[in-house]
Order: sequence, then C-alpha cells, then structure tokens
Amino acid sequence: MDTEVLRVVWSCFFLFILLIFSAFFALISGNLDLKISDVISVILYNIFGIGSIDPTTQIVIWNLRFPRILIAILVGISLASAGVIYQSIFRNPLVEPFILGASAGASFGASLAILLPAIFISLQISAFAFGLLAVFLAYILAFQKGVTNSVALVLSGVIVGSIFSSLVGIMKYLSEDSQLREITFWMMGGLYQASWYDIAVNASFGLPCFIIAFILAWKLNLLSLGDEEARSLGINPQIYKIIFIIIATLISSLSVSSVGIIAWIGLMMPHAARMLVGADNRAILPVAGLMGAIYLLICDTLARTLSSGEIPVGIIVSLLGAPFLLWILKARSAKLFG
Amino acid sequence: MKFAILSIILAINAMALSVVDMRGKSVEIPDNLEKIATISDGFVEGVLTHLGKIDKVSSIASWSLKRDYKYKIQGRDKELEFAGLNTMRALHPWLDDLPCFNSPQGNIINYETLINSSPELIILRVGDCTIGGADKMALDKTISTLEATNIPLIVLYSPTYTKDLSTMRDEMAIIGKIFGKADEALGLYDYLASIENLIKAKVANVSYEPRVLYLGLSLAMKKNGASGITYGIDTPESLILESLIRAKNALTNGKGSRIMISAEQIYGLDPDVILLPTYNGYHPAFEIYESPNYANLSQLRALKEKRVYSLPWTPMNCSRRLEYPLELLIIAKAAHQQEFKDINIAEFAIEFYKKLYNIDDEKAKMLRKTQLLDWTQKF
Repeated sequence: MDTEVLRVVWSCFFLFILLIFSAFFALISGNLDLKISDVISVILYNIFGIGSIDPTTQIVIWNLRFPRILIAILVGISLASAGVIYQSIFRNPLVEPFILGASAGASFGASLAILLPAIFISLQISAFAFGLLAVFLAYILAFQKGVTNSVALVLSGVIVGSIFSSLVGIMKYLSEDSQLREITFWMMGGLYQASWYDIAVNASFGLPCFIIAFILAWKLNLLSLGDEEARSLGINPQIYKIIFIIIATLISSLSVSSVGIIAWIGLMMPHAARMLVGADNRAILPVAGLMGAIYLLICDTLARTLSSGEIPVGIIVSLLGAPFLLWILKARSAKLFG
Repeated sequence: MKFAILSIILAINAMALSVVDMRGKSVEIPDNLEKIATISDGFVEGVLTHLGKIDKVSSIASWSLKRDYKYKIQGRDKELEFAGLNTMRALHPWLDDLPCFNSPQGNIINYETLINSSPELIILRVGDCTIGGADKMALDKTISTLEATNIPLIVLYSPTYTKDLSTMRDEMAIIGKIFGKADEALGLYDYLASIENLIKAKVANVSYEPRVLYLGLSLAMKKNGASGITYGIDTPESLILESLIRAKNALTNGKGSRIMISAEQIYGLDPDVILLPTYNGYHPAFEIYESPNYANLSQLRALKEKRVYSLPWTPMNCSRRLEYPLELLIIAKAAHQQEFKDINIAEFAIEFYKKLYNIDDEKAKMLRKTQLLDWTQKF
C-alpha cells in the first residue's frame, strides 16, 4: 500500500479510536457522579433490553448525555467538512462554513421564530430555511453572465450576511425583553438543546452529504486548482461548485439550526487535517471530520463539567481555537499556504 | 421698600424646596410640580401611587409600563393562556398613553422625546432594566446628558445597583421629600420592612436550611434538554436566600445573574426547592410537572416532592420593586412550609396591595390576578 494512503488510513484509525475514547470519557463525565457500570447498564438496557435501571440514571445518561455526545460528533463532522469544502472551492484558507451568510440568515430565521411563534412554528426549520435562503441570495447576486466568480461570491456572501445581521438587529430592537434573551442565547450556540430528534435529522441529511462530498472529493481537488485548470482536466467547475456549495451549506445550516452558531471548527479543522495528511481533500475530509468531532466533543464536555453551570460551548471553542489558529499562521504558514 | 421686596424674594427663594438625591447632589424642586418624567420600571411610580401623586407622571421610560404580556403554557393535555401586567400598568391604564422615551430594551434614552414631553422634574432609578448602571461610563454619560437638558434630575440607586436591599429606604425618603411627604414614604418602607422582619422571626429557629434553585425556564431551551438560567452566589437573589430566608442557593460556585444550567447539572445540584422566576416568560409550576418539554426533569426530588413554586410576574424588572416582600414571603414559605403554614399568601396579598396603593378589595384582587398569583390560594 502507498505510504501516503497508509498514513491517511492510520490517521483515520487513530482518530476514530480517539473519538470513541473521548465519547466514552464524555459519557462518564458530568455533574452527576455516575459509575462506568451505570453507563454499561443503560446501554444494555436501551439497546438490548437487558436488566433494569434507575430512572434518574436512565434520563441523565440516555436522554441527556448520549444526545449531546452524538450531536457534538455530527455537528463537529459537519462543520469541519463544510470548512474543507468552502476552503477548497474558494481557494482561500480563511474561509469558514458561514462565509456565504448562512449563520446570519439562520440567526434571522431563529429571531423571526422567537418573535412570531404563531407564524414560524419551528425555530429549527425557520433557522434552516433562512440559512439556505441567505446562501441562495449570495449565489444569485454573484451569478453574472452564466459564471459565478469565487471572489464575487464571497463578497456577495458578506453583503447578504450583513443585511441579515441588520435584520437580526431590527428583530432584537422590536423584541420584548424575554424574546431578546431568547435570541441572544440562541445565537450563543450550545449543545444543551440536543435531542434524539436533532440527531435523527442531522444523521439523515448530514451523513449522506458527507459521504457524497467524500466520493466527489477528487473533484474538489481539481476545483482547488482553479477554474481554468479544472476545465482543462475535464470537469465543469460551475456545476461542481454548485453541488459542493449546496452540500456544505446544507450541513452547516443543519448544524446551526440544531445547536446555534459555533464558529472556529470549520476554520481550524481543515488546517489541522492538512498538517496531518497533506493537501489531498480525499484525506482531509475524513480526517478533518473526525478532528472536528473530537474537538467539539471535548469542548462540550468541558462546557458542561467545568462549573456547576453551563458554559456556552462557543466560548470554549473560540478560547482554545484562536491560539491554535494563531500558532498555525505563525509557525506553519509556509507549509500550509505555500 | 425696594429692600423689603428684595428681602421677601430672597426669603422665598431660600425656602424653595431642595432635595439631596442619592448622588449627594442637591436638586431644586420646582414649585407646584405638575409634570414628572420617570425612568423606572414601576418602583418610582409605585411610591408615587402610595403618596397619591401618580397623576404628576407625564412621560415614562419603561416599556414594561406599556405592554400587555401574554403567555401560552403547555401542560400535559392542555394549553392555558396567562396575561400579566405591571402593577402600575394595571392600576393606571393611562400610563400606556404617555410618551415613552426609551428603546424597548432600555438603556437608549430618546432625549428629544423626553424634552418634548416638557417635564419639570426627572426621576431616574439606576439599576432597573430601563437604565441598568452596569456600565459606569454609559451611566455617567446618561446622567450628564440628562442634566444638560436643564430639567432638574433626581437620581436614585436601586438595590441592584447598591447590592443592598435597605437602600430602598433612601429611595422612598427622597421621593417623599419631593412632595413634602417624607414621613409617609418612610412609613411605607417601615411596612415593607415589617414583612421582612416577620419572615426573619419565623425562620430564626429553623433547623435545616433547604437548598433552593432559581430556575429561569427558557422557550428556546425547553426541548428535551430542559435547561434554564439561574442566579449565582453574588446576586441579590442569592443574598436574599442566605441572609433573610435562611436557605441556601443550590448553585454553590457560580457567579453572575445569568448562569446557564443544563438538566444534568440540575440533577447534580439536587435542590430541595425550585423557584420559577419570570425569565423568558412566565412559568407556572404545573408547566414543569406536566409539559412534555420538561419530561427529563421528572425524576428530580423537588418535582417528586411537589416543591416547585412560581414567583410573582416580573418581566423587565431588573431591580427590586415595591411588591418585593410578597416575593420574599413566597420564597420563605416555599423553603419553610411548616413555619409559614399560618400565612395564606393569597389573602396576605390582598391586604398587602390595599396598604401599598390605598386601593379597595376589588382592585387588590385584580392586581393579584395580573401578577399571576391566584395560584397562591392553594399554597
């Protein structure tokens, strides 16, 4: 087997083991002191119907910790994958999943749902729909003479994001005190809201998107060379850009609608993965996904165990992520960006 | 003759009322005061009601005095709608018609609207939602801008700002002095303090200090996670529990007034009693027992022992208001049921409102209803 391939396989294997270990550690960590045997009992009872368990243990482990862990894994994979896709198609290492205004659009959707609950019944669906709408608008704005220029797309994303941010400002201004707090907390992001329903939705849409992106990752490699090179190598960059933007937007909007806005993962993990396995997106996608899952899982475990209250996970993600990115920019910029 | 007239004028001026506010600044109060602008969430208006001077209010800065609040609460098999009102809005519906010179969320005074309402005096209560006071520089700027209007300004510091409940006495005394009714205002404070003393006396010999959790439920968070917001150990709420109620804040190592807390963390704290303040909406106790949204909390000891209580309706009320003793009484009875079994809160509330606002039985019952306290009839 090729050395590079072997390195990727071993990296994925090692990260997968680390993910399992992190998940198990997260499962036995928490403010309520539960034993490993409790965790095993709950798993045996719920999956195989063996034995009996205390109702409190059942709620804490099965209803509270399990969904958080699984949603952390799914959202971590989604955001990191979306980051890989965006950075490749825009050929810009500082692009993150919300560059096309998805987060601002989703925030507006969530604000609308909080302000007008009678009209927008589901906050998640509203956030998701407006996240997609923002990206669609950005794409329409950048589409000229049958071509979508990457720079124009980023610029229109910034513009659309700015418009939706202003609309969120108006929503905040119009909202009552309690609604204002709702909007603020939603925008801070957090996995405390995780439910089995969110997991089902994220797994049903997010994982197939990830698999499609992985299958098409070699085309992502071609896109990252530039439109001319991609065209000369036989692929239509416009079509594949649209496909990848749809995939990345879908999975990042799904994440936002489930857990609010969590920054940095989509920006950091592609760089971390590149450091580990090089520049091939076929390797970066799974490695970055696994790294994103582990990172968010660790951050969330810290968020819910460091104090007797809940620390918004976005704070920990940024607190640990910013120095990391700074280190990359300082120490590895030549290797990463040529 | 000229000298005599001059002497009379000087003497009148010397007798003109001046009141020292909580900044220590002497403020000249205009004669025959008719138009007052209030920057308060109901406390100043409440004292003015007690003194019979509420009709002097000509413009307001708190949206809580204007809004009608409605909440739909989901139970096991029913949805109920509750409507809450600020006591001042309920007693004086005309407040809704007055100019309001603040943004809906507070802290952004519209000075032109204020000036346009031509008040003869401004009374600012620092610490309410309307002007929070947490940002000292912003507060100083607000005060200096208000002074630049040349309208006399009285500044009061609320307990949220001073971190001391007893400073309400100074607030009341100053409002009383403006109308030459300092004794009456202090009498009001003495009445409120007597309820505090009643609570202190009843809990003096309790053998166990229960652990109480304030749980501000949130619409956005009330999916299966059933998380909420609680108060840290450095808040007036915690101080009240520890110093007055003889109970403990179930949260022992968090600071700040908006600490997020997850369902698992609530299990970890295992509170004896849960109090539901008006946080992101009003929440009656039946909601947490029945709503599927809180199913994950069902195994909490406090729920099993039916020790979850709803606090009076207080949106947009960042600081203590005149009705605070009623809240204290509910907390005290929730924490020490045996010691307070002789006090029927619902009946107490009627007498309390009557004394507070010099109103009749019907109006007092109306206030109890708009404060969403009718449940206390079975407490």
